Amino acid sequence: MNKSIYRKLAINNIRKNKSTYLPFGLAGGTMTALFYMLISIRNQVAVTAFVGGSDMKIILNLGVWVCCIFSVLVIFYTNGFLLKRRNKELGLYNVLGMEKRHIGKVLFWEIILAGFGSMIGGLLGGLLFAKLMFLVLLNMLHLNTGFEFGISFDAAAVTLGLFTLIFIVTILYNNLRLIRLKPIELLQESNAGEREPRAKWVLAILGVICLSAGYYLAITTQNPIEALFVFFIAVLLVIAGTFLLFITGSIAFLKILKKNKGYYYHKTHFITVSGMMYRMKQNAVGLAEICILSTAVLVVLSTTVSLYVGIDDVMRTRYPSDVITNYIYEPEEDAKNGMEYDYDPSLIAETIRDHAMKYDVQMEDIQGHYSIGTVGKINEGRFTPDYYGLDSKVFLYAITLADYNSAVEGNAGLAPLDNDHIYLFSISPEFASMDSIAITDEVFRVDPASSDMELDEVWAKRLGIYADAIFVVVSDFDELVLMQTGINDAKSSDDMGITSVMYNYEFNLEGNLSDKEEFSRTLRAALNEADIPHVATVENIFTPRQEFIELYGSLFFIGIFIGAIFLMATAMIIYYKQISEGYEDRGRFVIMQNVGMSREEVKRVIKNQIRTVFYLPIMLAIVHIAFAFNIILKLLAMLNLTNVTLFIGCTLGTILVFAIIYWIVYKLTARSYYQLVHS
Amino acid sequence: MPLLTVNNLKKVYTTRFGGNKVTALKNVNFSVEEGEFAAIMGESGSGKTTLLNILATMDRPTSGEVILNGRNTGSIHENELAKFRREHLGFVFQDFNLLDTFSIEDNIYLPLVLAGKEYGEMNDKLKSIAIKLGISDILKKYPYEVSGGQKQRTAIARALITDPAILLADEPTGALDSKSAGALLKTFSDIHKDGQTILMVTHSVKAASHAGRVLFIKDGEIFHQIYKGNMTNDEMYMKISNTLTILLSGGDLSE
Repeated sequence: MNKSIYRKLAINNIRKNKSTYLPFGLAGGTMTALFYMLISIRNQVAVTAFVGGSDMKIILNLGVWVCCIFSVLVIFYTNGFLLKRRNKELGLYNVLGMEKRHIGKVLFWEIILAGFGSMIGGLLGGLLFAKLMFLVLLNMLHLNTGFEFGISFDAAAVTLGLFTLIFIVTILYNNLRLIRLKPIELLQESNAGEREPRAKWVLAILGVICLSAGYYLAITTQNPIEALFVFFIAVLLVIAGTFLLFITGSIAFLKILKKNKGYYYHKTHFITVSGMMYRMKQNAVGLAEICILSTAVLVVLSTTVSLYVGIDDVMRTRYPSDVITNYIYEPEEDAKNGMEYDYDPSLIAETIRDHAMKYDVQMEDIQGHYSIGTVGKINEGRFTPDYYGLDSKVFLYAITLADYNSAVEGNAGLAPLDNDHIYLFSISPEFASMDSIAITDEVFRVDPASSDMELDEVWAKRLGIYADAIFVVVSDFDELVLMQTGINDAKSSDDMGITSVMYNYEFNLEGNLSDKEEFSRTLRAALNEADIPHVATVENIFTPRQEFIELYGSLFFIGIFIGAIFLMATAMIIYYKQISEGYEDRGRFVIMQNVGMSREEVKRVIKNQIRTVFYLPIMLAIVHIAFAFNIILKLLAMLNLTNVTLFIGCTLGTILVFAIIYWIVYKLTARSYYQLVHS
Repeated sequence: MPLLTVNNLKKVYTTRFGGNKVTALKNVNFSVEEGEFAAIMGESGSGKTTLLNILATMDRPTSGEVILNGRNTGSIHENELAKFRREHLGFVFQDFNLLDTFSIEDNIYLPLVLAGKEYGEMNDKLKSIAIKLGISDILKKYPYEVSGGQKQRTAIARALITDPAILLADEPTGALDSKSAGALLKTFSDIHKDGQTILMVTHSVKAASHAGRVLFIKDGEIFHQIYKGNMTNDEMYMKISNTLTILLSGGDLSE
C-alpha cells in the first residue's frame, strides 16, 4: 500500500473527528505551554541570584512536578475518550480489509499530527506567554532587576522531551488496545444494555463517616503546630468521603426518591431521577474529581491571595515592633567562665538612643522587660518543658510584676504578689481557670484577680500563634531567675538547650525609610561596640520586607499558576463529560419526543439535569471550603497571617471568580451538548 | 364519518444543497374507519414510512390534509403537537424505542407521567393492560433483560395506555423471529377485536394478512387495496402474495 495513504487517512480522520480532536489538541497545547512556562521561569530564577530566589526555586520545582503529573493525566484522559468514541469507525476499517497494523499506522499518524502539532503550537504560545508571565511576576514582586528574559532552549528541550514521551506512550497504548480488540468488538456499539446501578448502602454510610470525620478534624483543631498533620489526614478523609459519596451516596439518595411513588411519577422528576441515576453511575468519578480539583483551586488561591494581600499584617504579626532586640542574662554562667559584665538595661537604652540620633530616626513605643519563654506541656496542673512529639504543646511566657506594671502607661497595674503567687492569663479556658499551677517543681497559687483582667495588647501579641499559651506574671526578678533554673533542671536531655532569662528591648521607628534601614543594619555593630553583653537577637521589620514580598509573591504566583492548571483540567473533564453524555442521551431524547414529549419539555429536562450534575461538585467544594476554614486559618497563623476578615474576603472573592469561570465553562460546554442532542 | 381521512397528500423532499427534488408521496387518498385494522404495504422506498411520519404528525405534508377525529392535523400549532400525539396517537416502532434507563413498568407509564396523571390512576390502567398483553410478570425488569417479543408487547402497552384514537405501527414484527412475530400479530388481532383502531405499515405479507384491509403503495401512490372480508388469515396471505406477484411483474390490476 502506498505509504502516504496512512497520513492522508489520518488527516482526514482528524478533520472528521474535529469535535473531539479539537479539545485534545487544545489540552495538549495548553499543557505544553504551561509546562514550558513553569520550567523556563524556574530556570531563570535558578540562575538569577536575588533574595528569596532559593525559596522560590523550591516552590517552583514543586509546581513543575504537579504540572508534569497533570499533563500526563489530562492527555491520557482525553486520548482514552477519543478512542472510545471511535470503536465503530475503526471496526469498519477492519471489516473493509485494513489489517490491524494498518489501522495502527493510521492511529500513529493521527497522534503524531494532532499531538505533535499541538505540542509545537503550545510551545510557541508558551514562548510568547512566558515572557508576559515573567514580566507580570516581576511586577508583582516589585522587583526591578532588569534582567533579560529570552527564549529558554533548556526549557524548550525539557518540555519537548516530556511531551514526546507522553505522546509516544499514548501511541503505544493505543496500538496495544487495538491488538487486544476483536473486530466484532470494535464494531459493536457500547450500549449493550446498562444495568441499573445498585445502591451500596455500606459504602454510602462509610462515605458519610469519612466526610464527617474529616470535617470534625478540620473544625476541632486548635493547635496550629498540629494543624499541618491534621490537615493532611482531614484532606485524605474528605477525598475518600467525596469519592464514596459521589459514587454510592448519590445513587442511594436517588433510590430513596424513586421509592416515593408520589414524587417519582411526576412529569419532571420521573425523567430527571432515572436519568440522573445513570449519569451518576457513569460520571460519579468524574464529578468527584471535579469537586476535589475545585476545592484544591479554591484553597490554593484563597490562601495565596490572602498571604499576598495581607503581607503587611503578616509582617506585623511576625515583628510586633519595628525593631526587636534581646539579650541573654546569665551572670552565674559568666562567673563560671571567670567573666563579669555590667547588665544595666539603661546602658542598652542609651546606646540605642545615641544610635538613633546618629541616623536621624525617632524611637517610639519603647518597651523593655525581662522574660523567660519556653515550650512544654501541662499535665495534672504541672508544667514541664518538652519540645518533641505531636501532642499539644503549651507556650509559657513569664515576666516580672514590675515590668508588667511599667509597660503600659496610665494603667492602674496589678497589686503586689507574695513570692509563691502569680498572675496567670490564657485564652484557653482550661488553663485560665486553674487556681494553682506547678511550674516544674515549684507550686504557685494563681491570684484570683487574674480572671477578671484582660491581658493587655502589648503582651497578648507576644503569644502570637500559639493557641495554648500561658502568660505568667511573677512577684519579682529573683522569682523569675528561680523559675528559669527550675525549668533547665527539669529538662530531660541536653538536646533541649538552655532556657535563659532574656532582656527584651523593642521599639517602633519614625523617620524616612532609608534612614530606618540604615539604622537597623548597623544596630548590632553599635551594640557590640558599646560592650553590651550577650546580644542575642537584633531584628527589624524593614530588612526582611523584600524577602517577604518575594516569598509571598512567588507563593501567590504559583497559586495562580497551579490554580490555572487545575482549572484547565477541570474544564477539560467537564467538556468531555458533556460530549460523551450528548452522544448517549441523543437516542433517549428522540424516543421521549416520539412518545409525546415536546421539544421544549425535552430542553427543560436536559437543562435541569446538566445543571444539577454541574453545580453539584462546586457546591460540595464550597461546603468543603467552609469546613476547612478553621484549619486553614490555623495554618495561615503559622505563616503569621492572623487577619480573619482578610481571609474571609479573599476566600469569598476567590469563590466568586471561580464560580464565574466555572459558569462560563458550563455555558460553553452545554452548548456543544445541546447541539449533539438536537442534531 | 371516518376516523382518519387522508386527502390529496403530497410530500416533496428537497435535497440538502438545493437542486434535486424527490417526490415521496403524490396524491395519496384513503380513509380508515373507527375500529378498523388496516395495513399499508409497499417496497422499501415506496413512501410508506413518509406516510406514517406524516400521519404521526412528526413530519408535515407539502400539500393535502390529514383529518383525525374531525381535526386537521396540519393546522395544529407546533407547541401543541406533542400534546396532540400524546392524547390521540399510539406508536409501535420496529426497534421498540424503549428507554434502557426505565423498567418495563416505567416505560409503559412514560406517556401518562408526561400527561401529568396521578399514580393511582396509572397503576390501575397498567394492571389491566399488562394482563391483556401477558407482561404482568416482567413489569419490574429492564428492557435489556427481556426478549424481543416482550419488548414489543411493552411498546404496545405503552401505546395503548393513553387510549389512543388510532394505533400506528411501523413494521412491528420487523425485528422479531417468526415465532414471536406470530404471537405478536395474534396480540394485534386481539386488541383489534376489543375495538382498537390500528394502522400498520409493513412489507411482511404475514403481518398484513392479519389486517382487515390492505392498501398497496408504490412510487408514492396508493394504487390498490384488498379487503379480507370473511377470508381466513391463510387465504388472505395467498391473496396478498398473488397481488404482490402481479405488482412486481408490472402487470395491470383490475378490480
